[in-house]
This record gives sequence, C-alpha cells and structure tokens, in this order.
Amino acid sequence: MSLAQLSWPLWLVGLGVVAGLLFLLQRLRVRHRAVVVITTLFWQEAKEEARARTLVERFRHPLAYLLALLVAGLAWLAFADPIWRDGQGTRYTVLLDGSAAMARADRFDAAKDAVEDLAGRLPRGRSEVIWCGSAPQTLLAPGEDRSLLAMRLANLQPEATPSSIGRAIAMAAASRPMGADSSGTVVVVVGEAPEDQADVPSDLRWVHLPVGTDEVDDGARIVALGVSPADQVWGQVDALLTVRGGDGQAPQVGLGDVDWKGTVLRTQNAGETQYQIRGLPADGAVLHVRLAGDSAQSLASQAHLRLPKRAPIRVWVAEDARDGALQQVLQADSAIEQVADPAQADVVVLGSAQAPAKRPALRWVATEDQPQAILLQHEAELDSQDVLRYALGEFGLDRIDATEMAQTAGQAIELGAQVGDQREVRVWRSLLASDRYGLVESRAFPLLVGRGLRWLAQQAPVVPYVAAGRRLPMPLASDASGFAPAEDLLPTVAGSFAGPDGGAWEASLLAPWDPIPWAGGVASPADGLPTQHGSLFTWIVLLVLALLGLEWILFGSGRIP
Amino acid sequence: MTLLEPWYLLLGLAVLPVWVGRFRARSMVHGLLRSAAWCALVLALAHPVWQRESTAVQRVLVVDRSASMIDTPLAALGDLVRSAPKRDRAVWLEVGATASGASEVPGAVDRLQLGASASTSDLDQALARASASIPAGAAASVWIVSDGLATSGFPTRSLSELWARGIPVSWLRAGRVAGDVRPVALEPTGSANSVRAGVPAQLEALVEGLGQVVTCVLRDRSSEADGGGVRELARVEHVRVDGPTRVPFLWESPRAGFPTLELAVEIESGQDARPGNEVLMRTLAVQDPLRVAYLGERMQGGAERLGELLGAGFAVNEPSDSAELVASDVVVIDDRPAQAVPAALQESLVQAVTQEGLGLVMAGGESAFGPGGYHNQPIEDLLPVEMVQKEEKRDPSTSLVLIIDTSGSMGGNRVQLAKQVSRLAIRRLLPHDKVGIVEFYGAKRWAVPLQPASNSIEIERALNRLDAGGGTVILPAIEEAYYGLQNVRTRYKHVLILTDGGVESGAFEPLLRRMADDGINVSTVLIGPDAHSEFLVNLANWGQGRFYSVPDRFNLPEILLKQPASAKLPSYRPGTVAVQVHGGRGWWGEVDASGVPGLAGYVETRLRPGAERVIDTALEHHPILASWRYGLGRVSALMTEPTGPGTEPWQHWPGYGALMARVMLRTADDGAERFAFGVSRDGDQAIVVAEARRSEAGQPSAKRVGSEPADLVFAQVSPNRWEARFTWSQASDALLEAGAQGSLRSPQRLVLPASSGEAQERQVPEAVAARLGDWIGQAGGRVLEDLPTSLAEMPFSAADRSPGSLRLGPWLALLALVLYLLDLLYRRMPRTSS
Repeated sequence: MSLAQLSWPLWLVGLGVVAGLLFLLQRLRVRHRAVVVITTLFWQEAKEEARARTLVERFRHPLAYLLALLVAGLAWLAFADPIWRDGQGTRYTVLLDGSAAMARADRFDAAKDAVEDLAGRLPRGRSEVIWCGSAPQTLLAPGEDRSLLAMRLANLQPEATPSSIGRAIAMAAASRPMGADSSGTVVVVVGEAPEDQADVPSDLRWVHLPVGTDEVDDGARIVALGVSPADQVWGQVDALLTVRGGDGQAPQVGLGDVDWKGTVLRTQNAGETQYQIRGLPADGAVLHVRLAGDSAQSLASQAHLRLPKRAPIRVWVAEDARDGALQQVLQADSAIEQVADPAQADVVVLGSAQAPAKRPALRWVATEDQPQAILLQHEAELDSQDVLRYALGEFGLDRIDATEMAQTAGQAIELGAQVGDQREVRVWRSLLASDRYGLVESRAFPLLVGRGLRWLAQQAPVVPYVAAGRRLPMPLASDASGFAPAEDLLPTVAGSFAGPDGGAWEASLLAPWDPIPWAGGVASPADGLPTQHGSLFTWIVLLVLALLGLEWILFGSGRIP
Repeated sequence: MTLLEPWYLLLGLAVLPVWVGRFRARSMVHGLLRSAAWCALVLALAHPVWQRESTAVQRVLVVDRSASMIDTPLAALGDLVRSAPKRDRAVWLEVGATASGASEVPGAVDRLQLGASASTSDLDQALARASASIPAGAAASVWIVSDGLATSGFPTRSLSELWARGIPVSWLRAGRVAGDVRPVALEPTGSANSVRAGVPAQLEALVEGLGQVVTCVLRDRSSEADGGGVRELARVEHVRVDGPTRVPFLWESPRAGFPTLELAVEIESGQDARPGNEVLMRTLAVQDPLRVAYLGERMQGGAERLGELLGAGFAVNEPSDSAELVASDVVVIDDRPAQAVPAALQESLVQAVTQEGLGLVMAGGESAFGPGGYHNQPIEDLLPVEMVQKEEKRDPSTSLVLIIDTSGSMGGNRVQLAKQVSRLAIRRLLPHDKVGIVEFYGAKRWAVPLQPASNSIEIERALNRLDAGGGTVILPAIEEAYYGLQNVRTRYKHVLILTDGGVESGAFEPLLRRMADDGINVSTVLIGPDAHSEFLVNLANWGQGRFYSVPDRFNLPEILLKQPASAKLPSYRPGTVAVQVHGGRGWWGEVDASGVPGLAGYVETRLRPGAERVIDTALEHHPILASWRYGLGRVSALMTEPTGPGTEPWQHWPGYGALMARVMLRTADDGAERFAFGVSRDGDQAIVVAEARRSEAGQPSAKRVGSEPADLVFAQVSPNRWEARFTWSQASDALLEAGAQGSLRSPQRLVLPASSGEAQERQVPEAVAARLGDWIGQAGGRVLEDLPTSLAEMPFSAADRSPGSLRLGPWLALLALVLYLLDLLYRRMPRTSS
C-alpha cells in the first residue's frame, strides 16, 4: 500500500502529532459538570474524579483514548489517500471503441458508463483507459485519478472513422512497462469486435465487455466511393459508389452548383448495390452522395469526394518552335489547350537553347547545344536515374529507333537527365526532320510530346478515393518521378481537411463494418476484474463515520468523557 | 466542482441525531462541530472533484535502441528528463531495446518498452504508442531520439495522427555511423514484376558508403535450403561508393518462383566504419516463362526448334484444344496453311486477340500468308501486312537466260534460226525484265551478262556476234545460267536452251530438277529439221518448262515466258536478300541490330497503314517483320519461316534467338494482362492493389503463398481499382500470386520484403532518415544534431491548457479530522461552572 498525498514517514509523524494531541486532550480536565452522588460512601471517589480547579488530570479512560485515536488516525489516513500497492501484478488496458460503428442507438453512452464503472474498480496504478477513435489515445493513464476519466469522457462522441481497436490491441501486445513483473496484461474491449481477431497475439489475454445490443443493423451504408479517369476524355472522371445493406433505394448524388449531365448505371448483387457515375467533370468540385431515408448509421450514409482537377494544360508554342507534326499532336491531345499569350501558359515550347524559360519548357535545341539527343531537366529533389527510368517507359522513348537515328545522325543518340531550376525536356531540333529521321512518324512522337508536356506541367495523378483512416492511395502508374504531394497524407476522420501543402480534401467513412462475432472471451472475475466498487479511501472514510457515530453514542450515554 | 459518487450524500441524514433525540448535543457549538465533521466526511465519500486547468506538459521520448544505433545518450537524456518541472509528465518509450540500460531512466517517468529485441526499429508503432499515451487536449511534445533508420520505413500513419492533433515531433539525430558500407536494396530495374524465368533481367543494387571502393557480388541462395550450394551469379568490381550508389547486374533466373539472392559487398579499399552488415538477402518474384502456343505443320519439330531458339524464358507447346490455345500468352502460327487452321479456331483467335489481348505471331513462307491461303480468312484482318498475291495486277518480272548452242553442228542457218527465236523471246520481255545469253561451243561464255531487257542494242549486238564453231558441251552452260539466276530477284526465272540436239550426255536430271525446285524453269528449243529430240523433251520435263521445235524460219514458236497477268502469283521469294532494321529499343533491346544477316527467302507482303516496320528488305523495302496493336492484343508478322529455310542464314547469327524472344515478349506483353498489380504496406497492413487495364476486366484474385497461405478478398474502391488488405507481421517476406478470376494465364508473382530482423535493421537506406527529417521540418518540429541543453528547446503543442482536476476528498477528510479534534477540545476544555 502506498499513499498518494504523503510519504509514509510524514504520515507517521502526523499520526504521532495527532496521538500526542489526543493524549493532551485526554489529560485536559473535562468540562465542569454536576455529579450526583447517591451516597456519601462514594463522595471521596466522586471528588477525585471531578476535581475542581485543575487543568490537567491524570490519564484515564484509555479505551476512550484509543477510540479517539482510531477515529483521528483513520481520518489522517484518509487524508493521506492510501492506495493498495498496485505497481505489481496484472495490468489492465481498457479500450473504448470510438469508431462510427458505436454511433448506433445508445451504444456509445452504454459503453462510456461501462468504462467508467470498470475504471472505478480496477487498480489505479495498473490500469489505463484508451480511446479508440481515429487513433488510440489515452483517456486515463496509469495512476491518474478517475475523476479525469469522467471529465474526458464527458464530451466524447463517436468519430466518423473506422475502429482502431485492432491497432490498440497490437500496441498493447507490443509494449510493456519497463521493470514490470511478468503478470501480463488483460485487454478489455468495450465496443465492436476488431476485424482481424485472428491476428491478436496468442499470449495476450483480451476480453470484451458486452454493452448495448449486438443485434444486426441492416441500415444502408456507403462502403466505396472512388473515381477513375474517364476513357479518352481528359477533363472527366467516372465514379463508383457501392452501397451495402438497405433496400436499394437510389442515392442522392449531387455536385453542388455544378451542372452535370452524366449517367448513373446501377448493378446489384450479394447485398451490395453498385452505381457507376459516368462523365463527372474533373474540376475540383465536391461530389456529395447521401443515401435516401433516415438511416440509423448516419455517419455511413453519406460520403463526399473532391473530384480531381484535370484542367487543360495550357501550352504556348514560340514562333521558332512551330512544326507541323508537333501541331498535329497538340491538336489531337484533348489534355492540351494552346494559348497565344505565354504569360497564360503552363508549359512553353521553345525553339532555341538560349532563351531563358520562365516556365517548364519543351525545347527544340540545336545538335551542337547538347550532346544528348533528349535531355530531361528536373528539380533537385528528384533522382536523375529515376527520372530517366520513368521517361524511358512513359515517354515512349524505348520505342524510338535510336540505331537508325544514330546512323542517320552519324553520332550516338543518348538520353540524359540533369538537375535544373525547373523542368525542361530538350530535344534536338534536327530529330523533327521527317526526311532524315522517322521520329515524327513513329508512335513514340505523340507519346514524347503528350506525356512530356504532362510531366512538365506536373499534373497530379488522380487519387482514386479518400477514406478516413487510410493513407491516400496513388495509382500504380502514377508519376514515379516525384510528383505525389499527398502520398504521406492520412485523413484520420471523415470530413474536410487540408493537406500539408494547403490542398483541400474530403474524406469519407467508407467503413464496411459488418457485425463481427467476438472471438475473445467475455470479461469476468476470472480475468482478475473486480466485481465490487470501492476504493480504500471510501472504506476508510466509511469506517471513520461508523466510529464517529459510535463515539457519539458512547459520549451521549456518558460512557466516555 | 463535480461529485463522482453523489449517492453517498444520503449519509448526511445521519447527522440528525446530533440535534434531535436522546443523543442530541448539549450545546450548539458542540453540535455544530460534530455536524461539520460528519458532513465533511460524507462529502468526502461523494468524491468531489475540482476541475481546473493544468500547465503541465506531457513529454514523450521515443528512444531508439536498435542495432543500427551505435550509442544512445541514455544518461544525458535521463538528466534532461529529471530537469523537467515536477508538474510535467514524461513517458520514456524505448523501441528495439533489451532491458539493459533501463536504470539510466529516471524512475519518476512512465517507462514503456516496444519490442524485445534490437533487430527492429518500428518507429511507426513507437510514434503511434507515443500518440496514444498523450491524453486528449494535453499540451505535449514528442521527441525521437534515433538515427532515423527505421525498419518500418517512413512512419506515415503515426506522424499524420500526431500532426492532426497538433503535437509537434522533434528529432534528435543520434547514433549515426558515418562511413558504414552496406547494401540497402536489390531490385529489378523497371517494374517489380518484370523478371521472367529464362529472360535476362536487369537488377539494380543500392550500396551506401563514404568513399570506399568495393566489389559487389550477387549470389543465388535459392537451392541452399534443398541442400544445394551457393552459386555466384555476377560480380562487379572497383565500385566507388560515395553516398547511395547504384550497381547494375544482369541476371537470368532459370526457373519461376521466389528465389533468394544474396548481395555481398566486399571492401577493396577504405575502411568500413561498422562491419557486419555487408550482406543483403532479397527474395525476388520471378514470373513464369511466357507460354507460347505453337501451331505449325510444314516444319517438322518446329515447336522444339522454336523452344530452343527462344530459350528457357519461353514454354513452347503445341496446344491440344482452342481453350489451351487462347490461354497462352502468345500464339505462333508457323507456316501452317489456312486449311489446317479451321475457321472456328481462327474466329476464337480473333476473339482472343481483340477481346483478351492475346498476342499473335504469324510466320512462315510458302504455306503462310498468301501462299498459305489466308486471303479472305478471318485471321487476315488481324495481320499488320497485306498479302500482295490476291491483288497482283502488275506484269510479273522475268529473268531469261538464253543458252545458245554455237557448236560446229549449228553452222549455217541453224545458228541464225536460234538467233531469230532468241530475238522473238527477248521481244516478249518488258524493260524491267532481265536477260542474259550463254553460248556453248565446247566451252561456256556469257555472251550477254544478265541485264535489263531494255538494253536491246547491246543484246542485239551480242547476238549478232554469235557464230558457230567448236564442240557441244551443254551441262556447264546450264550450270552457269543456274548460278547466274540465283542472284537475280525476279518473279520468274527462265532458261531457254536453243540447240540442234547434238549434245553430250551427262547428269542433267538432278541439276534441272534442282533448278525447278528453286523456281527456275528450263525450256528447250530444237533447232533444225528434226521434229523431235527425246533428250530435249526430257530436259524440258525435268526443268518444268516446254519443248519447242523450230525446223525453219517459217515456223517460229511463241515462247511462253510469263503467266497471264491475271493469274495468281507465287509470293514466296526464295534467294538471298539483304535486310535492314527499324524499331527502337523496345524491339531490339540489347540485340545488335547492325549485324542482321540477309534472309534466304520470304513472302512478299505490303505493310498496312499504322503498322510498325521492324525489319524489311534493303532494296524493295518489303516488310519482313511487322507489328501492330489490334484490339487489346498485338499481332506481329514474320514473313519467313522462323525455323525453316528462309531464316537459314539467321541460324548462325548470335542475335537471332534474342530477337525472336523480344518479338514474342513484345507481342505478348503489350497490354495482355487484364490487371496490373502492386503491393505496398500501410502500418501493420499489406495492401494488394489491382488496377484494371481495360473496361471489362472482370474481378481480380490473389492469394498468399509460402508459410502463411491464404486467399485474399478484393474490394472494388473505384471504377478501375480493387484493394485487398491483410495484416502482416513483416518478420518474413509476404509472397503473393495474383491474376484475374477465371483466367487461365499464369499468375503474377509479387513480393513484399520483410522489414524486421537483425540484417534489415542495419540496412535501412539513408533516404528513410532524410524523408523523416524533411517531414518533421515541414510539420513544425525541430531536427537537432546535438542533445539540447533544456527541454524548452523542444516545441510542444500550446493550443490549450491541459485539463486537470483536484480530488477534494482527502482534504475534506483532513477537515473532518481538524473538526473532530476541535470537538474533543471543546468537550474537554474546563469551564467555570455557571
């Protein structure tokens, strides 16, 4: 047992002071009172007991003294706030599920009550309460007062996020207090069962505390909302919406004020309804989807997704860079919009090596200006090898007939990459001569121009979906040369959020929770969980009250002074 | 103030006896003191709490003690933590540590240990634990004391969570070893799925160091578990390692699967600051050999010979049914006439190419393309070339060699008659035809070397010069004509022998039959009054020509040298022909395209618009190898027999096998797969991503293989993307096989390398640490190289005061004690009696 407010020596000193005070009080003459002596035989004795004109009398009534000392000592002990020595022994980790699944009915309120109740019964020094919302987070650390738990629970609500119970269990299994004994840890889960119960380490004791009802809620919920680029239309995307459960009523799909005349195709199988939403404008608007009806799972019955921005790449072509083949490629590419003012351009096409470019540039250079036939200039953050590797496949450079070109040119045809102020693709102008080289007639040329301009414009890849609790996914064939601003982004809860670069995102829940049977046992005293309330402080104070009442009765009946 | 257990207040009613009844207080003061003490205790039982703001800061130290750290400043850190204000709470979280060293940590802090060995430094989980240990709303800061070389890679998830909570993360870069030579990566160049059994693959090793010169050795340890030895595969010497250095290797796996390679770094010069981590083990995914379905007929053993030519990277088989055929990666129709490829099979091939992305290679000579009867067949439209035979309208070109007997027996009118017949024959030729004249008179001589028939003046002059005299030795003359015609490229080749029949005997038959086999017809003209010559008739028969008799100048025959223009023409063109190459690296790769020898025969075709010309003839630019996309697949056409006589000169060309392999790869690999697969990790989960490569791709499927086999369940997350997730311990490689549901094609193999273990711990690339530094800098944290002098140097979240509370119960108990003592004092204090 240890004391929270005092050290044991200090408490003992205090107890000694109290005992001394009581001793002095015991010897203090009792207040004057009338003593009725029924016979003169007792007169002498009565005179001794009720001696007049003395402040201190001899120590008498030792039982009364002991009673007073017990009352005062226990009160002093209550002030010291004793706790059982609970640094050793089984440790308890209580996990409170704060995921969106707990928003059903009064499930969460019941869970909060259960956690408070349980925390009151568990040893304070060996128990902690973890909130498992978007990420595990402490509600009550070991040794912290239970009052903090009540405060921290007061305004908690389930978050629009998948459960992090599984992570918290793994965390509890992986970490242990240094210097602790090997009594192990019992994890008590209050909420939904984790998805991967088979992955719970076998050496971890984990039980669940039933709360609310486990009945299946068949409310409709959105489990997927994602986009892909539309076929052959640069400025449009297609979306997939998957709804699980419910009665298959059509969802409300909206784009705010955006005028959209796309199509929605519906297929249904195995309890899921899929909607293909075609032809959405890729202009950065937010796609809102809400299921019809008043679903109990409101957090899962709506989803939002900010559509990608795929604005046309504005290209300005300098007078001395104009070429018939280039013009054909630019006109055929739906992603490219030619502008007349270089100030409005995202990418410029220049015809000489000398003119400094203020923007990313595709540049036709003279053969003598650079030894490489094609030279990629990139920012310092990128690795030239990675850029070359990316360009070789994506720009179609592996399809260029380098041998024939080399024979025609009379010199080696090389591909290179270097670091520069901004991105540039520099190509020998002579390669455009169709009477000498077959480049402009080959299938590699439109790839080189089209993909090259996209690389120069740093067009962000289309992020397929944004879900709470999941890292932002990148397309497999995304720009491997470094433009992935959101790769490290992880929305923790559904809703609007901003990325580190200031970009605006919308995350949806997209958590396909289905009731999962519990694999762990039910919390029971066998796991060392106390069934009764009561801290040591409470019991001591109750004892003090009882002794105080007894002492009052004894005093009132004249048994003690 | 709040009461946690207010129901205890009911005990307050027990104070009533102090005021009423038998035991009521005898004085007001006494009663008040006793009541107050009682009430204080009852209130204490109700657990009153005073809520207040706290200025305490919660500090979490994530201390990396893994094997990659050379020194963790435990004592200095302990002193630093001790210097923190008493009100602050500190959590000391060790990752990758054993129990030793815990004594350095101040006892007043919460001490947690993550993992029990030094072989992992899972910073992601450590930071997640750090985040979890910080109560909501608390002012807090997190420090990382680490070299940043986390086996878990960049801790995306945990850092995002801390960033979302506004808790700054600072990093004390400690324990780094400068000049530690170590291999940190070994992976295929290009996509991870690009390594195929039997096909040379480019691997790239990444070695880190500081100015040392090393030798990198690549070894195969795949068969070690089966009792086999370790085989050295490649060695690159004299590599100067200064920072991350890439070292290329060329490696060919003999079989598909998941072989384990060892990359060892041996130091040639310089010092390794920390030896013991110079060997990197990697498991690679090697895809099955490309499945080539071979449909041949004319070439005996063609499948075997094609298999030998292509090498171990291709499994060439002769399918037994159409299902097996279309399940292949590429189908080769080799010199098989159309009548041997039923229309239904052709239809299914067309369907598979256009809808399933099957690759098709049409090859062959005299039984393929036009000569094979593929005109107006379903497969014709797939081909990147047109068959010229079906539309041949031009006048066919002809080479004519006149062998004129100028022996003594031809004297007088006979030689003049022969000249007349010759003139008639030459007149039937067109300017682009060729003509030559060989005279024999005991010896042989080219009176007119082969030349265009347009040179009529010179030819006529040569004819006029002919005169009779000498013996009759015809065989060498015919041989001369044969050799002369072999190097001529014309549709028809004709030899016309003009003689009076008085010739010697010899081995004419084999020569003439051979000439006929090579497309050279031999006709004979008997000059003179004899109406018949058995010998000349035989010559014409053997040479598949005609026999003519010219008794006098009034009976000159019309020599038939050409078929009518409307007739079907043989489009197979035997004979040596030089070729030239086109196409980029995609077609030729490492093959030396400059040394392609000529062909010994090919089928003349025309390139279709949009088709890619890879090889054509040097003079006439007839396509030899052409290719194009058709539907979802790719079709290539090789206008000669890959294992037959047409490519006989190529059989000795070292690049032939490699070229054919690239043709097969290129034809089969161009978008044939319905899905592209990738695998990555997200915290303790592995994610398998399938992206559809076409609109009707179906459903993907994948399974784990190896020690933890399991089928994975994909969920569609966007119109063209599916994901499957599974929990992964990272202690061993995750081996996967993925493909399209219901597909008969070989599955794609994927590997997610293990990231925990002694070796991995000390082989984390510096790039991981660099990325961590960048992120922390951007998120408002600090990166320090030296231990700070004060905790104040580490920023902490200061958005809100931490919520705190004060339990009033003990203080109420103390109050009750004081009141009780006062009560006793009041009771015992002597008083003057009234």
